[in-house]
Formats: sequence, structure tokens, C-alpha cells
Amino acid sequence: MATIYTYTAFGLTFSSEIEIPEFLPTTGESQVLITLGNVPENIEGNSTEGFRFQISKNEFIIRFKPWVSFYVCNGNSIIIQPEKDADERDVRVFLISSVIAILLHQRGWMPLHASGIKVNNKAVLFSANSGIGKSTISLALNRKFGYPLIADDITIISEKEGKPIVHSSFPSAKLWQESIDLLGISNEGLNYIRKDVFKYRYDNRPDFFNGILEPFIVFVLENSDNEKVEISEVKGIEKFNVLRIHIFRLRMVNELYATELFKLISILLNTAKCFKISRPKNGNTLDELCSIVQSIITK
Amino acid sequence: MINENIKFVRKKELLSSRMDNEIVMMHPESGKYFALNPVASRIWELLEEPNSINDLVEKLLREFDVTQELCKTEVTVFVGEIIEKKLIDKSE
Repeated sequence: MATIYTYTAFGLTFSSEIEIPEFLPTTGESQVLITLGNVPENIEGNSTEGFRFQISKNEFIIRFKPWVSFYVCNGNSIIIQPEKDADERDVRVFLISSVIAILLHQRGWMPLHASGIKVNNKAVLFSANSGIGKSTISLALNRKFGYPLIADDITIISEKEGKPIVHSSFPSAKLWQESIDLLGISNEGLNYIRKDVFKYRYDNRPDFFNGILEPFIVFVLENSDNEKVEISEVKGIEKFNVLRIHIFRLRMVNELYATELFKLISILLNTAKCFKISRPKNGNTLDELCSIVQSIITK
Repeated sequence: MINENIKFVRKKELLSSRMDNEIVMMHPESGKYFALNPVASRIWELLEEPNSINDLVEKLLREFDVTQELCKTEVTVFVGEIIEKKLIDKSE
């Protein structure tokens, strides 16, 4: 009998045949099973095909050639089929990002491309495209003001009794060397997230909060050609539009979960305020950004 | 031209959500979004119950400071658009 690992992440308990050191170990009954096995050739019935993947409302197949394939179904099962020379880090990078994101979509939840911190028992999120600095701002605010971290790349929004809730993800961030320098962290002893991707895996366990929070503010970060950091509160329909584009893997799931996502964005934005921050593409504006965010969240 | 006395009502399957003073709505089958400005949002609210163009104009005139003529033109244009986009039905 192989070892079974039990973890908590994204508000769920996972039972896994592979070790996932990035997740927090836990005990108890699991809602999701991660097993090693054969990924089916095709999804039966109606499905949509995309680059490397096939998707239907309850099933998903993706092949990251030449490393690994995954089959995700019913929001409660993931089958992993690694190729012969697959590095376990390659497998995990895909598993704990895109693959689990689809599983969360299948459960009718909304994975947002956002990092987050806990401020007075509420969640403050930083949503942005890759490379804009969502991990860095969360870590910087944690180091400066002590706010616990709740997510690095994907934050989950779901609903309970008509109210939005934010689930923490797992205590690990992915950082480029540039972010490590900005934050003044040492890269000694850190591993790369993948064999050939020079981004570091940074464990932030002591500073991580695991649990459920009410949403407070969503900051949407963007790069701009301006010389100054600019911030404005987003209201009305624009709020909807700026956030919708940051749903994780929205293009992959296309309209499959349109109704669920519409409802979740609506209840989220009826509770949380939304601010847009544009920052200059070049130059170090991290300190300025931290002060601006701190002044808004402590207002 | 749309008959001014025919009553229209929102399609039941549409999802809509208020964001401050604007409304965003979605057709669940197509996944298409529609955004409404504040005045259109008010008309949309009124269309929760069956209303004709004349009913709408009468109600809006009580709330907004516009001439009857302008109000009627705008309501007719808006109702025409949402008929075309299949967002409302004739009320039975």
C-alpha cells in the first residue's frame, strides 16, 4: 500500500498519492482524491478542445508534453499520469496551479488570479496578470506591517448563505530573483519551482493564515507608462469588468461556468471595495505602493 | 415601430446584478454580458413587472427631470435594443 498524504488547501481537504510539500498537512476526511493512474484518451460526449486540453462541465484532460497528463472530474478527483522522465517539481507546478484551478471551477467556485493578506480578520486581495508583482506586494506588506499571507497566485472565492467568502490557498510563493532582491530575502536554500524555470519556491509557513475570511478590498494592479503610481476606486460596471478578466483560467473554461462566476463576482463586489492601481513599468515603486495600500486599508 | 401599449417583461433566465447605480446582466446560455447605465438600469428594474412603453414613460417622468418627448424617444430606443438582444419578452 502506497503512502497517502492528507493536506488542506483552497478550503478543501486533499488525499494524495503524491507528496505535495507546498501544502499544509492535515488529518480527517478528504473531499478530493489525487491518484496516479491512466488519463483517459478522450472525454465522452460534448466537450470543447483547446491547446493541450479537452474540457466539459464536469471533466477536464490536459497533457503537458513531455512531462505529465492530468484528468480532473466532478470537482473531487484528479488522476496524474507522469511520463517516464517527469521531474516531480514539473508535476507539482502544473498540479497546484492550472489543474487544481479547474477542479475548483468544477465545484462552482471562483479561482481568482490574486495574492492576498489578512487584515483585521478580512481578506485584502491583489489581482493582476503574471509578472506585475502580486506576490511581491503581499510579501512586502507582510514583512512591513505583519499582515498574515493567505494566497500567492490563486485565491478562492465561494459563497455561504448568500455571502462571499475567501479561502486561503497554501503557504508558498513563487518569486523571481528580482522580487527576492526587492524584498531583501536570501535565496540561500531555496529551490527552483521547476527544473528549468528559474523562479524560486518560497515557503512562508510562519506568516500564513489558513482559513476562511470575509472579503474587504480587491486591488487590481496594472503596469502603466506613467511616471507615478496612480490609484482610483472602481465603481459600477467597470468593477465587474476589471475583476472578471482576472478569473484564473477563464479562457480555458470559457462559458462553462458563466452562471456560477457571474453570481460569485456579483456577491463579491457587493461586499468588497475595488481599487485600481497603475504603477510605472520601470523603477522600484514597491515602498510607495505599500504606503498607498496601507493608507487605504487602515482608513 | 413598437406598439406603445404592449407590455414587456424581463426574460426570467437572465441574471442581473447591481453595481453601485449601474446594472450588469448576463444571458446564461450565451454567457454574454450587458451593461446598463443608470437610467437604463431604472427601466430594467421597472421591467421586473410587465410595463408598456407608455407605462415606462409615465413612471420615469415622475423620477427624472426630462421632457415627455425626450423620455419617450429614449425609452423607445432602449426597449427596441433590448427586444433585439432578446432580453425581454412580450408579457402574456
